[in-house]
Amino acid sequence: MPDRLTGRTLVIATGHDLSLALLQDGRLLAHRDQAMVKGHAEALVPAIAELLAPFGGPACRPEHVVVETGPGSFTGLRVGLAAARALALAWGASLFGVRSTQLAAATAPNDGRLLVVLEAPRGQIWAEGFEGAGRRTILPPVAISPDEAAGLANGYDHVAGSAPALMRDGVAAQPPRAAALAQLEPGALGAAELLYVRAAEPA
Amino acid sequence: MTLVLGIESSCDETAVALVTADGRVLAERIASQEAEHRPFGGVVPELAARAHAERVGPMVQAVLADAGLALSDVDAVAATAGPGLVGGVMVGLVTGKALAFAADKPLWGVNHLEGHALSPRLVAPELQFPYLLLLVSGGHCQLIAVEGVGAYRRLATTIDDAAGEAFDKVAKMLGLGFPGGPAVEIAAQHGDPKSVPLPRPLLGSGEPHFSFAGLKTAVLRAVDSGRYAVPDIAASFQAAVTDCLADRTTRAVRAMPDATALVVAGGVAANKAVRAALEAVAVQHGLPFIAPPLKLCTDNAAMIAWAAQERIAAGLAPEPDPQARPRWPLDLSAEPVRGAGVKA
Repeated sequence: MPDRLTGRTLVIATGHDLSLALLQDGRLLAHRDQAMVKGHAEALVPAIAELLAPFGGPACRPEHVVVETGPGSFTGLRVGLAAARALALAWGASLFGVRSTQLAAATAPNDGRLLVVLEAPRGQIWAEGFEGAGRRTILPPVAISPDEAAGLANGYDHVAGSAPALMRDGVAAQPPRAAALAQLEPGALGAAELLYVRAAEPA
Repeated sequence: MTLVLGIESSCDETAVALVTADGRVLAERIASQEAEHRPFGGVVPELAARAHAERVGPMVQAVLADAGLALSDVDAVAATAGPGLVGGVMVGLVTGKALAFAADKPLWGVNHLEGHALSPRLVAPELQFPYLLLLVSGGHCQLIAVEGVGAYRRLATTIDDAAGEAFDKVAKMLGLGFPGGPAVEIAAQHGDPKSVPLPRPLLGSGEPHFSFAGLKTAVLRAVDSGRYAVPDIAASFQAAVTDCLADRTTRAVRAMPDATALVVAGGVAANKAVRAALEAVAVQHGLPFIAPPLKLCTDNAAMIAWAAQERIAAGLAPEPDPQARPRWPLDLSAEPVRGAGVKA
């Protein structure tokens, strides 16, 4: 994985809202966030066009494309990956993946233990636990009930993510944002492979 | 010469092809998902969408490399926009849109059925409009008067299952595996097609359509009776489907006196018994019979690229920002048919 993202990086996050960002040498140039449950397939490419328009449109040819890999909406993630792969191919850009939980963790306090909780279908929660400034994963992504998530949260110093009922200490709930990539160490990026963490079927 | 990159992802084949305006397929790749779906005896939409998402990007790259070309050499991108399993269609269509955007090329959202309807002209350039098309696959069973590029008149459709769907389901009942078409055909070789009395729904009917649900149920009863051997059931079922297809096609040939040819497309056209019966219908009515090679009959991307080439040659403009459609009838003015299949 890269030490640093030199040049331009397009970040595509479609597992929750439709969230896009353009970075220059790792710093945020522009971002675009749109609340969205369904409709990523329809909105994505026009939204990318709009984001890049002030920077020369497709001719600005970002050197890197980073795509959200989940956990998130399977359909949304797939659409994001399809676009990311196509753009990387067309631009000759390198392609990396970032987990939804990493994006949600990026703007949270980085001392102690952090639990990221994201809203999943059927009232479930996707959770991942991190520890320390290096954001070491101590609980790999899982799909659990809100009660289980609340129980888990007791063992953590901080909670971040998109599940309002689980937020505390005045932290606002927010879905993963592409712009948060600017806060992440490039070394934390992984392969552009989707993470299909399935919420349990209702009993 | 105009070069189109085509992408197909509407069911269980991921396919990418490069096709020139004069119908040369410079490169093409087709990845079947049979292995993913075989344990379930049918196509599972979520698994199909996952497989498309994994494969389509690398396949675009591979096809360009096969042809020794870059995306900048392509003049337009064409992707199936429906009808089909919408999760897979979205993956292919978004890939096409992103490629077209990044390379600043036009994007054509292609109707998969139009791909099938025009594909015979890719291999038989002498084929003139209008011609009669029997499109017979796992998702479709339609007779279409192909009157020109973008001019289609539906003469008949199935009121329940597609013929290929019936093959798949019968194969499952008989424990023959997936995909069912080839499995039933092989089993039928050793069976007696007259041994099991099976109905021929709508045979000789005044209405033009197809129906296979009753036949499928009759096969289930024959299986449950325990009185018949698997090859005999397979052969009798195949004979019944063939009779229905030939009868309905004969009716359509008579209803379309200006047809220049009888053309068959879709995966079921690979079945030799079906093909022979349809050829006999064509010969009987003095029409040329055109059956594209198997790889063009089943789902493929060359036909998607070719449909865009036909539209470009006809001076048509691409639809701006096409969306994935689970349903997309070729003939928008066709009357809805009672209980018609989802994509009819």
